Amino acid sequence: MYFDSIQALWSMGGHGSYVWIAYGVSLSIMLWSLISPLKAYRKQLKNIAIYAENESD
Amino acid sequence: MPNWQWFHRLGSPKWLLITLDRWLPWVLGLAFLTLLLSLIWGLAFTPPDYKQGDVFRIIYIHVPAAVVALAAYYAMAIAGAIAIIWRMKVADMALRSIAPVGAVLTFIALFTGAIWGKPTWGTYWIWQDARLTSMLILFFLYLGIIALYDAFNGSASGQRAAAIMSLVGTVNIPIIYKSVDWWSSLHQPASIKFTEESTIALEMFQPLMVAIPGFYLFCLAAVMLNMKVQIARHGRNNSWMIERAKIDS
Repeated sequence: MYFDSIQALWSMGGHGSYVWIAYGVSLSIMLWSLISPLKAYRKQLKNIAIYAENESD
Repeated sequence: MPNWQWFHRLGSPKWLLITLDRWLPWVLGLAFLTLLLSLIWGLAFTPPDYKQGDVFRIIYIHVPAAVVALAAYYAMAIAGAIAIIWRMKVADMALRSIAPVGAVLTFIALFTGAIWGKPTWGTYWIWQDARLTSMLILFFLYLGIIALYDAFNGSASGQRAAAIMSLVGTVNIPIIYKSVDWWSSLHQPASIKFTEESTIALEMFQPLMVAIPGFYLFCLAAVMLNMKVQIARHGRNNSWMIERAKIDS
C-alpha cells in the first residue's frame, strides 16, 4: 500500500473528503442502476402473471 | 453466402431474453471483479500525483465514466439509426435501455469532475468552459431521449422522436472530444493519446487501463438488465412471456 496507515488512506493528505465522496456517490449510483432494473423486471413478471390469471378466470 | 441468422435471431425478443439471462451473471461478475481490482489499485497502491497529491485518484472514476458515457452515446445512436431504417423493435428497446445508463455515467463524470475541480481549480463549475458545457449538454441529451420515449408511452411516434434526437445529438460528441483543443479551457487536454506518446506515468496509467474495461462491463451489464425490462414491457401480451412470468414469479 502507498499509505503508511489506514488513517493516512482515509485522510489522503487532506483530500480525503473529496476522493471518498466522489467514489462513494459514484459507486452508489452505479449499484442503484443495476438494482432498479432488476426490481422493475421482477415486478413486471409478477404483473404479467397476475393479469394472465385474471384473464383465465 | 454470409450467414445472417444471427441478425434475425437478434430481432427475436424471446431468443434475446434467453441469451441475456445466460450471459448476465458472467458480465456482472467480470464487471465487479475488474472494478474492485482497479479502484483498490488506484486508491491505495498508486503513487500520488506530484502536483495534485492524492485528489488525482478521482481519475479512476472520472475518466472511465466519461469515456464510456461517450461510447454509449455512439452505441445508442447506432441503435436509433437501425430503428429508423429497418424499424427493428429490438433496436428501439436498445435505445431506451442505453439512455439511462449513459445519463448515469455522464452524471458521474460531471459530479466527480466538479469535486476534483474544487481543490485543483478552486471552483466546482464554470460556465465558460467548453468541455464542461458540452458534457452537460450530453447529460441533457440522454435525459431528453428518455423523456421523449416515455412521454409517448413507448408508442411508435415516441420511439421515432427519440431515435431522431439520438442521431441529431451525435453532433455533440466530436465537440466534446475536441473542446479542450478548440477553446481555451480549465480542463486539461487528453493525457492518453493513441497517435503519440501518452503524458501520464505508467504507474498511474495501469489501474486506469483496468478501470476503463471495468466501466464498459458495468455499462454492458446495466444495459442488459434494462433490456430485460423493455422486453417484458413490450412482450406482456405474448404467450411465451406469459408462460415465463407464470414460471418465474
